[in-house]
Amino acid sequence: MTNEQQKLLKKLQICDFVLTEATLYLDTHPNNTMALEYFNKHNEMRKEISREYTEKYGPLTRFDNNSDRSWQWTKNPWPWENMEDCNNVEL
Amino acid sequence: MWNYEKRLEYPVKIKNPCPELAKVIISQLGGPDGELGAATRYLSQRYAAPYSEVKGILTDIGTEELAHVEMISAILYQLTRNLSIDEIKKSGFDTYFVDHTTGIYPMAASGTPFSTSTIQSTGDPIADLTEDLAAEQKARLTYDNILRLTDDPDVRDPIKFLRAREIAHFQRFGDALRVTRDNLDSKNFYAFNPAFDKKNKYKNINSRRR
Repeated sequence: MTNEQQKLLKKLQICDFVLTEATLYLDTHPNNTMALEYFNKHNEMRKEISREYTEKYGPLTRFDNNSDRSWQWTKNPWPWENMEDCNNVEL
Repeated sequence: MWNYEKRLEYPVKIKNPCPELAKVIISQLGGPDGELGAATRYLSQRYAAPYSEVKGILTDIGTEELAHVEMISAILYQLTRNLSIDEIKKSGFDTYFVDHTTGIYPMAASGTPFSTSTIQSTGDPIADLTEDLAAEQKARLTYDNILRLTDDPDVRDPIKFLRAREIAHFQRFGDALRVTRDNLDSKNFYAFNPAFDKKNKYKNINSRRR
């Protein structure tokens, strides 16, 4: 994973975590307009970051497939592994 | 990372509650070949999957099993709505009711609580995928038995859908096992565990054997 990809992923993780926290708060405070505004603002940010990420580095969900030649979804690496892990198993 | 979608994979709309039936269908939630075990099995096994296709299939089937946990829970919820104490006593549902009321608790029809003692994650992809093939067949036959126990079309319809998914998963696990074998030594698949033995280590094992 390149430095640039790692940076963009970090941005996505930060934005997504903000949304996770805001979701939990809104679940029990559904009419808090400040929290709603906060959620909506970051949701727009997340959409933009996720669009850029999937365009450059492939799908985040199976619905993000962006190739009509091959299925990108299963491509290595998977989130729990480092790039090197994928290369040392071939015989 | 997971996200929840607020819908069922396939609709569940049961008009007539039937606690007797809930008592047996609960096995497909928390029983030995139930959906919770299936999801736990595949989502745990995927870390030992050495090939991208196998990581994909274990992740995606494991995720679909979580949707099946939700479908079975919805069936149980609808089968145990608006029960009178008399109905609870007569149906034999009282033995569940005393501990769980009409809440959803993962257990087998026998009363045994959900346990990972009925699943495996061996760290060996051939062993894991062979277990997965058997698991899908065992779940399929459990659905066959459930279909033998009810003639309510509202219950049979989603159960038939779940049964058909077991067969589709069996076929995809067959593909995953083929991919795994194709990547190994066709003369002896078991000479090398691709999830544990590394390329150089494999060479060392061979030279030691010689």
